[in-house]
Amino acid sequence: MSKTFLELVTLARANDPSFRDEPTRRCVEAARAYATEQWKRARAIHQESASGQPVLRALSESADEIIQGAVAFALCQTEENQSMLGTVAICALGGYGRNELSPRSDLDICFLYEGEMSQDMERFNAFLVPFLWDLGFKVGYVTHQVEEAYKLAQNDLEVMTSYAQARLILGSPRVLSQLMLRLTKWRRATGVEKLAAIRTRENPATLAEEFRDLYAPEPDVKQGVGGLRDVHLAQWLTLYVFGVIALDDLEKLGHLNNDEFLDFVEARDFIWRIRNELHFHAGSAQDRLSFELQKHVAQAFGYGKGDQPSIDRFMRDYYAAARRLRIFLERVVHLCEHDTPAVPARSDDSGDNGIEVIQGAIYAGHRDANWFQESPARLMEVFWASVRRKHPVSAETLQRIREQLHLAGPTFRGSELVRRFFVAICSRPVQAGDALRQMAECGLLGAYLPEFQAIHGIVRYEDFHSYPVDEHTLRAVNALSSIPEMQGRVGELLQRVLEHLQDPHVLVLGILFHDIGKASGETHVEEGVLLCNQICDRMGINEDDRGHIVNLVQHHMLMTDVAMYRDTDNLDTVQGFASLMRSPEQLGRLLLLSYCDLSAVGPNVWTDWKGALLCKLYLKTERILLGRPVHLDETYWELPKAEEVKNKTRKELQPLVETHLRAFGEQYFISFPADEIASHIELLAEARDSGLSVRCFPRPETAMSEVVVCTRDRIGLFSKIAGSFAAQLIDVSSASVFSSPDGLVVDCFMVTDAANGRPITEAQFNGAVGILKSVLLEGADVQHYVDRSRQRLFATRKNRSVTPTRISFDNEASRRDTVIDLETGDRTGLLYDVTRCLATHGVELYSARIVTDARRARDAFYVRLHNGKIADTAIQEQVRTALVQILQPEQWAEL
Amino acid sequence: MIVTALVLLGVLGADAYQETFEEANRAYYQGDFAAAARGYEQLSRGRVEEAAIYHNLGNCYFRLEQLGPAIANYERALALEPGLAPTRENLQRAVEKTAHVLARPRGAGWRESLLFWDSNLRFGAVRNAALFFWAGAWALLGLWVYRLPRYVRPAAALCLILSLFCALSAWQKAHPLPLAVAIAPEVPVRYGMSEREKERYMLAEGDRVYVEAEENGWIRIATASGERGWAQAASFQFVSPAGGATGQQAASEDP
Repeated sequence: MSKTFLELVTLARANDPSFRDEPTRRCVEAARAYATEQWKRARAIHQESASGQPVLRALSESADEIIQGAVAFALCQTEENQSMLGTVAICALGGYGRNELSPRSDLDICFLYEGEMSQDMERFNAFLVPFLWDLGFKVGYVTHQVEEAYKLAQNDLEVMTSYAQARLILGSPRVLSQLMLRLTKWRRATGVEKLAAIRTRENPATLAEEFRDLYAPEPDVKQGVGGLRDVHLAQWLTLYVFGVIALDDLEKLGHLNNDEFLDFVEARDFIWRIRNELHFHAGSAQDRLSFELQKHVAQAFGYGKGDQPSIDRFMRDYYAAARRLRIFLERVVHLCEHDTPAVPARSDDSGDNGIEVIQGAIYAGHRDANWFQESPARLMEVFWASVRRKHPVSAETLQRIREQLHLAGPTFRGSELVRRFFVAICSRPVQAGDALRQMAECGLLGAYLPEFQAIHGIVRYEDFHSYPVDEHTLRAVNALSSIPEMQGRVGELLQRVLEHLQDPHVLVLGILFHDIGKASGETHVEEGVLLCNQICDRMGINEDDRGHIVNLVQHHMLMTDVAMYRDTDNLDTVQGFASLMRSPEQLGRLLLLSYCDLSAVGPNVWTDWKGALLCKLYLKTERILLGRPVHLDETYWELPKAEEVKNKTRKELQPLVETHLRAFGEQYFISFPADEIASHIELLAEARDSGLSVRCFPRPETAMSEVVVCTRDRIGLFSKIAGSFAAQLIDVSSASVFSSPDGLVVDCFMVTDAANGRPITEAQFNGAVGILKSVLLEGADVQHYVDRSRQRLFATRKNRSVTPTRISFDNEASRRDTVIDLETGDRTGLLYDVTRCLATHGVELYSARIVTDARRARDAFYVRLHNGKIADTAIQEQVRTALVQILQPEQWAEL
Repeated sequence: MIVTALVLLGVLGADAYQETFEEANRAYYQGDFAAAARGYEQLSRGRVEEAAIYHNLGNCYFRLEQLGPAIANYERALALEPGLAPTRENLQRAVEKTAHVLARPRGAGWRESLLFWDSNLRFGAVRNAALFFWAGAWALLGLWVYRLPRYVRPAAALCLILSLFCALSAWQKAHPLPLAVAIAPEVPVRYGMSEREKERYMLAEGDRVYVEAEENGWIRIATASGERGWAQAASFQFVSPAGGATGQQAASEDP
């Protein structure tokens, strides 16, 4: 019977002659079997324990055992055998050195030696390193002479930090300590310079883009902000400044209080545990928490019930932990920077009441330990001073506020003085964002508004927001500060509205409360209105202001919905919207709220096109509210833009410009810049002759291509175009369909290559045009092309977001059409499937608004059945069921 | 010097292909090896898997005294047409001119003992043989049902075994050893994937190595003599795996 790894190690250590008969292959197999066994043991610990650290420790220990065994085998290859270890130190570096070896992390090992590399050492390494490779370990192996390692560490921060955390696995402790002592001395001499180098690394701006955002939808638990890199950076910083290797020492030395430290330990352990699960599950060094893995981890950690894991709750905990790690790093950075006297003696602006501006930051009560206790309202006053003087609150003062939060009890919340400070902060919309964020970071906002605390870290995938609700809200308030720098017509209008805003605090409070109902779940608007009333009661906000705030919360999605998904050329639609607005001021507030809300949903969600649609609705509604006449046939074709269109159009087509603009309507006019409209006119002229004209324009600013299709309208046209794109594996991310009374259509699609999300290639475009020609002009069946492309499934994008599908029918929005509103996760071929499904039910499509952002497709289809609305609920139900089946055959739908 | 006259028509039926090939051949005759190499490279980049092109390319590089690319191209030609005796000879000459004259890394031991017979056969030949014996075995089994000739059973069993051997050989040929050839004059080999690491030994241009792993622009190599370590992938040309060779070679000359 073959010997086990441990038996072989015992024989090798005893230099038993029988070991010499064992081939290396046998030793590798035995070690591999042992490593697998240890791996399973670690996995069992992971499954039983609710903590990450024991697993890391167990894996480090078993790696130690395997390396010690391999060293025993390798020594048998040398002549001096054990005596070689007297001049050599085999050390663990990096995470392995700290006893924090993750299941699939690299084994960083160093062979440190004194004097010259002997032949025996060569033989030893030549056996050991390939042995570890054959075991399947990813090994980072370095061989350094002590002097050489010292010199390398002096020039390379990474080598320095990895040696500073080196741990002896086997060999001479003297050799390692010799190096460590020299490095410690050198570090003390040059600590400050190195600190600056580490600070540069710490700056999130220097990170690759995918790692910069703490609230990334698919975060990286190691490299991302709030990931383990923050812990490592904190470790390096403390090493240089305080000379301590373990972060625990910071607490022992009194630099951190117990609560702060425990908070950090808990967060780090949670991230470790997630990383362990990712590595165990993927079987590779998988550090990215993708949507699929979020579902898996949530299920493995017991979030939710059975097969329906609560990903929202899991991600809420993840973001909270990541944020705590980030806060901890900032705290350590601050500690390290202010290792010198905490508060400079001289202030730039010695202010009143113990609030001073020192080196561009607000310091409060630092000369008096009881300053906050004397008057708790000062907790809020500090932020008012920050807004008024346009300086951020210093980290020291934030820390003091954190320690004094117990003063922010019910009396504080009901205090008139505190309310006045808070309202004063909110009445400076441009500065309020930063102050509210700092208030949220130190916990004062949550203490003052417990309702805000309740939305902290809540992630709701069905909202398609990239950020948790509290982060979204703070970003929304912050978006106000970007308005003064905005360019273009939309920017000018937003600036004008912001400047003329009366009672700006109403707007800021409206933004702050707009999603406050999301803590309770489904009907967040109704819940938000209830909570908003409750807060206003407690704060003692006057009736007038309360009415406006509640109105904002109640209608915070209305303006975006109407502007983007309803036909605002229809006077009834605009009048219906205007009837819900109390005054032009309220309309202005809602416009600003809509802008802030959209821009805080995720990156690139706010676009000029959405801005133009909102502005159009705003201007029309404003006229109604001011009692000015609004006509359907406004003479927009006499605006300077129309003149510009004329100038850009070919001479022979110029007489057609006005007819074209009038035929396609104002919605069309504002949706496209002048040069695009000019090109549409040319395309239409072509289409009149040939029946079809298609053009592709690169849109590098959005990393997409725009395809414009001009042809004669016919039944199922949209579905055929969408099918042609799907057949070429082209994703449609937005579409606008415009038709003129003479039966011509201009359909514009923003598209990307489904395989890589980049602009489409020329070959793809030509392929799509070929299919369009055969389908539209020669009467071929588009389904045939789509079926053929579906065999190339590898290239398609699938709906990866875990989201319910929402379908609703609206018969009020339009005079002639039923509007089908649809919300679902995006995927390749979605548009074709939906339009085909509508066509098979005999539903004709007249117009469509298709918008895809933050992985969500939100579409509105203007449809008719037998040239009328779909009034029969039975038919509605039938269409709805068919759509649900197509959109999410395996998942649930919210009907 | 090798002159390759190929019957390429019908293989691709492309005039442009033929033209480039002839131009490259002309350049080769006139002694402009760099231009000839460019022409052949263009053909090989056009995903034309031709043993003759790789053979000629190898000759060009040999003439240009670039042993690394020469050996890599001879290896590619042999992967497609294992029976090409001139290529084998030229390869041997090129290897003898390298500094280390390293042997070719060998595959697993069982391969050597089980598939000793197939070294000169092409992938297509063994695949067809496998199919032939497979069909033959079933045909013989069919005859056995009607109890016609005697000894049909052992013949069917023999066919089945032969078809399995041929299939194994075809699978092996479709999954050749991942080989790489050093193209820099000196290629340092280290224990780790970092320039900071100490160099363990040097490979010379033209040395053939077995590629064990590939990561972040580095490859873990093993030589025929068992030396192992990490080296930068950019210093190597990979003998890319080639399946089902086509094309015919009519005549060849020594370089």
